[in-house]
Amino acid sequence: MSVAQTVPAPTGLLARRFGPVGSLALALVFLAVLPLVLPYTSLAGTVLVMGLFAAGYNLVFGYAGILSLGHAAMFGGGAYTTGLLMLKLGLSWPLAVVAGAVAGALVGIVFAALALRTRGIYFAMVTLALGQCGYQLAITFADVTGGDNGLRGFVAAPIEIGGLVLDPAQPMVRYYLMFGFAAVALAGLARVLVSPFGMVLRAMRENLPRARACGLDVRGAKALALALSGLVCGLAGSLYAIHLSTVPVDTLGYHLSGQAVMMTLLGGMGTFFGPLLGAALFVGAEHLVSDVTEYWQTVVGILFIGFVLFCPKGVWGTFEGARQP
Amino acid sequence: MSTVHTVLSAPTAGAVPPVPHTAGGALVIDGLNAWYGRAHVVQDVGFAVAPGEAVALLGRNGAGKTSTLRAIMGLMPRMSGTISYAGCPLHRAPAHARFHRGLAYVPEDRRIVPGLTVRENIRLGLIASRERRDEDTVIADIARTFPRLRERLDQMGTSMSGGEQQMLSIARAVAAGPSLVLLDEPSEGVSPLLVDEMYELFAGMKAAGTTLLLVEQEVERALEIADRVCVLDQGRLVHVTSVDDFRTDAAAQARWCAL
Repeated sequence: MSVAQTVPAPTGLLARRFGPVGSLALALVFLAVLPLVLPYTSLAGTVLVMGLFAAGYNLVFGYAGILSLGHAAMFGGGAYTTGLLMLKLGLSWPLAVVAGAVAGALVGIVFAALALRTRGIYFAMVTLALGQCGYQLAITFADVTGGDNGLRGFVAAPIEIGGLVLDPAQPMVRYYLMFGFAAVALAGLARVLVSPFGMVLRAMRENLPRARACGLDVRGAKALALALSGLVCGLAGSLYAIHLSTVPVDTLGYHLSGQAVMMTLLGGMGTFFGPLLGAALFVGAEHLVSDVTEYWQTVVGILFIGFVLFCPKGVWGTFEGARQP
Repeated sequence: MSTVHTVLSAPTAGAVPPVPHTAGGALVIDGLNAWYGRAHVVQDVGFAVAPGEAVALLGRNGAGKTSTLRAIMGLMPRMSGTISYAGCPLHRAPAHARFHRGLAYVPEDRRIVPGLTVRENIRLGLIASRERRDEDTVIADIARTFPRLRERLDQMGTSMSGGEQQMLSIARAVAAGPSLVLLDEPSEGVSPLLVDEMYELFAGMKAAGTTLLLVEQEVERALEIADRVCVLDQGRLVHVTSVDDFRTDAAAQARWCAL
């Protein structure tokens, strides 16, 4: 027996056109040309760091459907680890950056251990509280962390690669050194998203009870997602420390966790390129509006509300028409 | 602009039933209780299913059949009692560990995972198992077992008809070659033609050595492949008998299974 049936074509031709490799290439090209088109290299550096932070956050928020309000702890944990290792132990900055990323992953594991007993808004509340614990630790141990003043006094020394001396003190050199780390992280993220684990995350986002009824270890997958997200967000924080040559205590603040949500939603949650674009839009809006008014946060907030109401898939999500890696 | 694909379902003749890849054994349930909040939906239920046997779990709506299956799979929020499979205690194991032991579950209401293609839904079943079988081999096996899915592998699962989604739900469950399959009302809302196909498949699975625990509202359908019948009523196991005895016991059918 043959039964003719008509089914809709897969949505999101652009998503199919870009695919995982295309999305990664787009992200890398975007970051590579950023300092060439923006007026200041430091602005490009901030977009890169915040874009990487949002991309790491997107792994749990956009792909696994888990709302965390404490990701600043992973970002700040990475930043402080890098700064402290350079300042107190004199570790070379590339090693300190790697250690910062690992520290971010450890924070992610702590989050998983303490918060995964809860779900939904309760999980979000626990992560918010855990994030604030990180902030309070930085304030309490001011003799180590610098307290309100942040961590200062470390400098990224020049490094030699194949006889070529690269000095991070030069903004453009620093940017492309940071870009090298970000490129590796984004490639790793893309690999994770196209792996079976990436599919498990999507299944959990689409319907958690059904994913569980399929026999998937949803709790283990959530824990791994938090650890991997922490790795990328910790790396972003580490690069931020190199970018600024200081670690402000705000890197652990709840507003930075909120900023991760906003950047991801603005660009398009559950898309690969969206968080990078969202970071560029957020940082760009902050830069432009703060030149005009000191109430830039209000203006950016209104813009954000408008996007949520009228463009809920975010800029890139709307453009792609589908949530694909 | 959206386009449409026209697809033709493949003929179903010659379907090859899946063969269990995991070692089977007896499922023994004793003193099983389960709750939804304060509602005590499964009360002191105990029965056993021998390796290769097909047992039909019958009863009216709300009798506790689905809750019993969910409790066996570790999917109930609160439960007590003991469950063992092939001599291994399962009652303390998380749901995914029970799948690793060779159990598989086809939930009621054709519960495929939305947002994934047919191939990805099948792949989920493979990921859930501990046995790392080659994906291409599994997909080829599934395509032989479920010819209807063969042409639709890269189509979104939710774009298929209800019956085909039910087939996909079964395909996902058997992808890893489980030795015990729990089927929850597989014929519900499915066209009679597809139900025939489905039951041919179940008979083939049973012949290949797969143990089946089947919840079904259509009593006659269940009796086609079952060896024994367990009847639940108001959360309690009230009757255990052979298929032949149950088939001729009109009073029992009217008392516990009439809608």
